[in-house]
Amino acid sequence: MAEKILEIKGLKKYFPLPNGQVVKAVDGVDLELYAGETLGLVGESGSGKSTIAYVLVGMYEATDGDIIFKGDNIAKTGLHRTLKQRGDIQIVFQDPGSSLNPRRTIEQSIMVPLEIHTSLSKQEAKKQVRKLLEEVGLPSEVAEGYPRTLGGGERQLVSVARALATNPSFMILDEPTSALDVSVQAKVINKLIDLQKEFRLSYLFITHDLSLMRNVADRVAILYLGRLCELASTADFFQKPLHPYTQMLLSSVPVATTEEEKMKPVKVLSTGEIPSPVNVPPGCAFHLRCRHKKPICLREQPTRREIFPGHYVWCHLFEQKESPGSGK
Amino acid sequence: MDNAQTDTILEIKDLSVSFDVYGSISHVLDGVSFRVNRGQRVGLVGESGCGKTTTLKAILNVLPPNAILNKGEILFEGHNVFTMVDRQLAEMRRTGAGMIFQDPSSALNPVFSIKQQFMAALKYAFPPNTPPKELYEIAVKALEDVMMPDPERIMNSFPYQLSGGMRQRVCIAMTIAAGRKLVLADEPGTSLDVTIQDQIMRLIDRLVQENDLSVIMVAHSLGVIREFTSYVNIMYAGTLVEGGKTRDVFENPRHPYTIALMACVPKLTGEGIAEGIPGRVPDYTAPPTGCRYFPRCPYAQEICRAKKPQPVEIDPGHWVSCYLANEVS
Amino acid sequence: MKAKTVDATTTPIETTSTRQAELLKRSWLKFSESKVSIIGLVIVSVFLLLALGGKYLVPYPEHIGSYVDFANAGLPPSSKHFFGTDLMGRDVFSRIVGSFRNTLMMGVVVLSIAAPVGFMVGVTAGYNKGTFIDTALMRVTDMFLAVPPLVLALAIASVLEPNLTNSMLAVTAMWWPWYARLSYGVTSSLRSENYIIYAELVGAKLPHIIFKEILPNCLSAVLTKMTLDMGYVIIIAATISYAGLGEQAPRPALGSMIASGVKYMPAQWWLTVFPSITIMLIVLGFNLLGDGISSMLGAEEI
Repeated sequence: MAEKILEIKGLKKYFPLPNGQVVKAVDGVDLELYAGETLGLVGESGSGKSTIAYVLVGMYEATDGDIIFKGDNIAKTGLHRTLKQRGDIQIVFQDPGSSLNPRRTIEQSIMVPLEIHTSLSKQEAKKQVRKLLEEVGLPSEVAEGYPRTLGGGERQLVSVARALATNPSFMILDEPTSALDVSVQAKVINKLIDLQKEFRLSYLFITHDLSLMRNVADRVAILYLGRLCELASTADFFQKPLHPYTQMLLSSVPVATTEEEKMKPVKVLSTGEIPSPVNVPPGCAFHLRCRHKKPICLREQPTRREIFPGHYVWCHLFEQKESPGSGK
Repeated sequence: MDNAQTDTILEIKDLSVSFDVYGSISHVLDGVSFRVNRGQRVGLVGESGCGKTTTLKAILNVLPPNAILNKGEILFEGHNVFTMVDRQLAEMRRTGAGMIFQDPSSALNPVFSIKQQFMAALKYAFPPNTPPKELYEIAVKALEDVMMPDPERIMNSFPYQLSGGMRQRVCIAMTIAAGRKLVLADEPGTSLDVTIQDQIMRLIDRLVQENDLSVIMVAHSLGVIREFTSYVNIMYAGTLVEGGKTRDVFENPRHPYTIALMACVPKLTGEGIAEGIPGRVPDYTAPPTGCRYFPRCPYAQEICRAKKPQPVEIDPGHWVSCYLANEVS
Repeated sequence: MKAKTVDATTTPIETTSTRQAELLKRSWLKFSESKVSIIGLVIVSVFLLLALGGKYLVPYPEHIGSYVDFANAGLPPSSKHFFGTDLMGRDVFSRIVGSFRNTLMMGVVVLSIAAPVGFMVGVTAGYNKGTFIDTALMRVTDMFLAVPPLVLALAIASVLEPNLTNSMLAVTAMWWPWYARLSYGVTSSLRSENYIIYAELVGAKLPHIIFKEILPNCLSAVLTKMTLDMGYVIIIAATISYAGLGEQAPRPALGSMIASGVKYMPAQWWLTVFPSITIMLIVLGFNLLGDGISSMLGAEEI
């Protein structure tokens, strides 16, 4: 097995509200990430997937838990981490409209990390900007332009180039293509896959799009209301989704071909809505929408169970390793 | 069809619309023609900026003031929306065709309660002497129809108190309760979570069946279109490139753009994603002559640059606007 | 499958110069969308020209200072004296044009101090939104805003020795809070933009974030406000000088000219009416220009 570069243990991030309530955005998450792999983090709004990303890059300090990155615990450092750690963990944001400063040229934007993280002279840095742009498949003339002259996909590629400037080993991709059209998404995704091989990057790929996840991730983690539901290799996951929420999620995906239709588990009709993370239900967070709930689900939080090698599920139905209803 | 007159609820004929953006003219829609029969669900697929929303706005005749109608007409139940008198137009918007928007939070006014907005919408859709109590009951019934728990409480709440999915249900209820015949759905599930989108799509599906509505479903998600519509039009850069029964088009796409688009969609079966389509959507101020897709088309010929291709029926009911329709597959 | 016979033209990357020309053309079209903006531009251009070169353009340059010619005192407007003469026999037109230089200087000095000071206060508070710094800075700003501006300026000006410098000081003191508010608003909305967050994450220093990332985004709003404010500063300055607290005789100031002429209304009406119309025109000009600039820059946002 490849080297483990990141280990998240019992990560919690709470946000107190002025009225005394607490938003439990992330409530006890354990994850590991290996060098060169893509871990897909899937969840709907309010699942806490972006919060995890922000804690990892240091925008937030964790409320509790550990994040061991290459031997150092960075859970509570926030922005007070070393320059090396900042450069080593990079992020590409979702919204191509807001990730680049509209009043600065592409070159100026990419120069920012270069000035801080390298000792290149101005001339060398300018050359490096063009090299990075070519690396992500953009013509070097782009450097002189402003973001508004670029399309959404090109802007995202510029963000990727900017992230590469610090020579990171770990990149967080926070829904990098969800604002893009599919034909543009295809280009960006393929580029990301190429870059991963070239630079041996590890990706934490955050998305709500399961079809996309199927094609990019090595392993998939499903998040619901700040807690994990299921974690498995992509192939296992799509062959045999176990958690009732995962099944609902998968059967809700609109698909464009009949072959995919067959991939879906027996149609589990989606019901209910995600409760607010201010009022996480006691016990299993999903029990309000679950067809298979048992009395224990209302009382106790399920713990991690390994059903097949490397295929974990957080659900009381699996106490005796039985499948709820049906997988396939 | 013999009784096309009664069978067709909406017919768009050769619609061309431009926009005057500070002196430069953007030629957005170029010769868009399609028809919606009563009870039919027609999909309109294309990427951002291809003119889907402009088409919907043109149907309701609510194009912005800088829009220029170059040619074409839109017949709603046989009457051209561009030549309707104000009274007819208002009538058509209130009770004929209604729109469901992508973003339910901006479709509702945040400072008025659901009741106030609902009643205002119904007031104009029903005869002027309808007692408010009756309208209220219609509204409550409509909210029940969209599976809203406790409709009376919902009526007295404000948009911010509702989740995105619930707001969209309210918008749908408001559109349907007025007894409209044609629903223009502009990406109704796109801004919602996938499990909620699934619920909304199933809801629209049921309401359309129960009320015998016709629908134009605009979406960029091919999955949504395949699962919901019976007939589909593929739009590229303001032109329709292919159309036909949804199943035919999805199983046997013939236009190079449709083929490329479908290859780009990530599949649950996971065979990787195609490389994407080279180049960009054209600049509408100087769109390519001939076929608008030719600069990006791997099969482009000299004729594609010279002359706009006309739709050719390749299978019964399945047409393609491409000179190479019979060679590409 | 057919081989491709036509070169698929790749998207042309526009050259910087054509792009620039295109942008300029667009900017002008946006600016001139409302025709009155052009009137504003003309008025302001004439004003600037006269303010800078007035001494050489007026018929009686010596009348701008202390000059007495009782033989020609109190003459009504004529072809020789367009706006008549005052009670010292000085040409009113020359004196009005002669006052432009100080009027302009007043506006420029006040705004070029108030805008940067206000910007720094606003950006510091906005960047630290929700902290003690934010509260402290913005409450002080609010205190200034709570006092009616004219009263404050008059109070300051009357405590100090009445002259041009002190009246500039007084107006500046009441003007910066508006820029603080403006920059505060822009900054706190930029605070959540990903490019600002990215700059922080990657380790950019505060001056970089403020001057390189935030400032360029505030610039259009600040510049628009400065143009609009020129007019208001000129009114306030005229009011102060009307109260006798600004530029002192014999040097001309629009406010003091009105004040000294008002006693002779309506007989020598030209002493009051022409300076008043001039103030009105200048303020109108800056306002119309400001509107044009705001529609030009506003539409270019993002």
